[in-house]
Amino acid sequence: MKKLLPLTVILFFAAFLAYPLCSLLAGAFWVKGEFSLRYFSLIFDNPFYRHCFANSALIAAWSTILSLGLALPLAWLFNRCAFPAKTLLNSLLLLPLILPPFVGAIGLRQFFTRYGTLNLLLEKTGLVSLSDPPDWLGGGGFIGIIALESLHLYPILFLSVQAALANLDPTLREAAANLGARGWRVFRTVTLPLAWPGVFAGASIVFIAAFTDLGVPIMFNFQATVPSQIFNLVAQPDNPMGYALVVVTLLLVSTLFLLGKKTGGGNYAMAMRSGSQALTVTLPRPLALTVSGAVLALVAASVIPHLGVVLQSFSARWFMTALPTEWSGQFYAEVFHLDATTLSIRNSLFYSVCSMLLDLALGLGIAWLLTRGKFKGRALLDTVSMLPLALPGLVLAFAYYVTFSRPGSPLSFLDPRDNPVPLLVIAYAMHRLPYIVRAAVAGFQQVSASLEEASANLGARAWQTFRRVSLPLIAANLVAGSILTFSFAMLDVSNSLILAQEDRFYPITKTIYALMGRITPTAPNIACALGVLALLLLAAALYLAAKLMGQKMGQLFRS
Amino acid sequence: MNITIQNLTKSFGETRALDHLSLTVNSGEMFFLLGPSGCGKTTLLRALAGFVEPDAGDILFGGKSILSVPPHARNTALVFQNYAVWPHLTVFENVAYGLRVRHVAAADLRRRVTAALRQVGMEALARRKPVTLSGGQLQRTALARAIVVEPDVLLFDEPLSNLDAQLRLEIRAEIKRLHAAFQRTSIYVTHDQHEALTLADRIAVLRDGRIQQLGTPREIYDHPATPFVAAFIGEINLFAAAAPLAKNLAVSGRQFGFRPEKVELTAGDGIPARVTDSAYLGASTELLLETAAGEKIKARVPRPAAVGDTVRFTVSRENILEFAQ
Repeated sequence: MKKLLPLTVILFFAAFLAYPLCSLLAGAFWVKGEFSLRYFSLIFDNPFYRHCFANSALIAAWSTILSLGLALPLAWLFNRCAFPAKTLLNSLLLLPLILPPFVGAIGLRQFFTRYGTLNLLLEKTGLVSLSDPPDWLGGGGFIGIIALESLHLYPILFLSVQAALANLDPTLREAAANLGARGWRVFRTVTLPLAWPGVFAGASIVFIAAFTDLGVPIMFNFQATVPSQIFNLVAQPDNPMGYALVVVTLLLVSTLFLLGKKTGGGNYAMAMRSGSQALTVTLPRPLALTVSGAVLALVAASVIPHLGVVLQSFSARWFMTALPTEWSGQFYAEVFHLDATTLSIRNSLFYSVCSMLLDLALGLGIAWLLTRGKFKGRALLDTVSMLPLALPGLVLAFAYYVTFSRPGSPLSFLDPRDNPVPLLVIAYAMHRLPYIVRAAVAGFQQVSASLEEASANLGARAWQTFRRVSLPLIAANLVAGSILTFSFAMLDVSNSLILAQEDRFYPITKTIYALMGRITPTAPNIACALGVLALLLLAAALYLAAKLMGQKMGQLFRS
Repeated sequence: MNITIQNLTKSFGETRALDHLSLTVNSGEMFFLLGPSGCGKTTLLRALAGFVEPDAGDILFGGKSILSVPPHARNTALVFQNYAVWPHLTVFENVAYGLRVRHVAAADLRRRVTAALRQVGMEALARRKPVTLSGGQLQRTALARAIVVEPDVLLFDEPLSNLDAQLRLEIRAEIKRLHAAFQRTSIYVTHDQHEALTLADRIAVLRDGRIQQLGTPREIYDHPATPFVAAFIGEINLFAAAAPLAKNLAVSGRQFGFRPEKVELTAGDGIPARVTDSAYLGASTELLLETAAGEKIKARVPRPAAVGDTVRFTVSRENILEFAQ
């Protein structure tokens, strides 16, 4: 048992992380038996791909800037001020992070296209003429994509900046104030430089996520981005351009990730924490209410896209009007009657449950090794098991598809073209593994080793100690972690879109994508109804997980 | 069950926690391992329980080596410094745990757990969860949990150090009573000399992984083998062989010392000294004396003296402790 567990973990990471990534690199650099950078020059010589890179970089940069603009003041407010409903608002701010922007894209379109709700309302006030209405989503959805990414990703920055500020020793600020510096100057000369590692780490994650997100551009049918092109190239396994695009993305991501690690390495803020607690400023009543109202408004704005999805799922008639004119619940009935949708729900449930169980087993084993095992390479295991968080879903999904569908691969029995189910389950599991590892590690860390020693000392064997002492004490964390991995798998986009190529294997997300592409007039409504059901499931799961994890929930999402 | 430890050695990286340590604990004895932190006493205890694997040497329980025996099969019972009472189980289930893994029949189990809880005065709290208990109640639960399995060896790892002064005395008395009642071979680790002096049959004073002295509390207090032992158990005024005081006290050629309470103030002849500090302790007074040669001496005397007074003192010959260099 002592040997078997590390061996299983090593084999899992070797087969499903190291091997696909190596084979991806080989495919990009190894052309006809020799090392070549040919494909890379081909990408950058091609004006269309250059355009794609420029678009993706712009989307990522704007999303990062807008997220910073939202997150910095928010983090400062939550760190330093007291206002009504602060705890509730703090959890509500996690909501946009959890709601999938992929589904939200449908709703945003409904509100903001040329003949969408906003323009129709503005037309009534005479501000907009319907003969040439403004395109709020901009250039085929470019602005829409940035808006969705920003609204989805700013909570990540908020969490990491908030943590960085909370770790700052307030006496450092007090020292600056004591020497004569005032508010803004203290922020600029002390607070910001000390919080910088947290800010940078959060910002690089937002940049990477916005750059590599596949779901939103594809729902806007916006082709000129790197992820959209990678998605198109999956279907052409012989075309090396796909490899090259993915590898360039991977290089970009690794560079940013390493930079973030390096910047975060000098985390002096943590090192000299004195016991003193920061005092929160109690704002005057009217100002405090304004702050609460503004934060609430921001949360509301973040869920507007999803509101659009809910509206469309109930609208029997919604044409050239601000809101639907006829309502109906028929699309929900159809979701449960159509073969395509019922099958996808069954598929998703099956894949997600399997991946959850796989995650649970692996996560528990890895967490046990990390907290209780005695072996060399613990730091390496820690890094590797957190790697899927940094690795964009798109990159790994592409690597899986090309690696396991290549003829002659030693693992070709996993070929996604024959049956993508095992690979989908593994891909889902690999992606959410860090969450359950974190949850289980947190659990093991709370359980003092002496509680386990006391059990062994009184005659319990290792498995008895595990079953009677360790497991009951970390059960809440494990259940919460499992719920998270399950619900995120239910809404996985990149793996589902890339690996499931045949209708009968479609999970929910791919079915939503397929429905949106159909010409049947009610298909988008059914897609929305399916999306709402997925959101409801997600909401219920997260509520449960939050109940179990309590205050520690936010920690799971921190970078 | 007697315990023999032979040449036990254990290093953690550069530091040597146990250095060829050998000793024998007699059956039914209350044996103390006493020393400052880092002396190796906890490592030795954990090696006995099986949580530390020694680099070399052997441990024998009743003449049989137990090094290859896993912790759960050693039949020891460890009382932890931080109690290690399982928070998800009631007091009753905590105590019953060792019997359940031993597959003791339900009726017998209930009887034995109740008896153990009665022994430590926790019978009324059997259904409580640990979060509702005080530190003293937690340690009583841990004691009951240890004795109920009738271990061959009881191990105590600084069981009183997380308790406040009043509870410390209470639980100390409890441990003394339990040991008198059950007569289990017990090994008790502490850095507190009072616990050691009041409870121990024999004490091993440890330093840097080695035994400095092994003996009964009286032997160790009255005849400390080294200046370190003398200073660690009780207090001592220590002087080099060449100190001017050596001549006055008729000691020659060796490092020597005496305990503060052995200093006697005399009326007539004696060594003159000035009182530089005086602390009234109620039952006695603690004086800091300085001789003409500048030697500082701590004295604990029955009657007070004022700072600035000149007094004369002596130490009788049998109270002077001499140490080999």
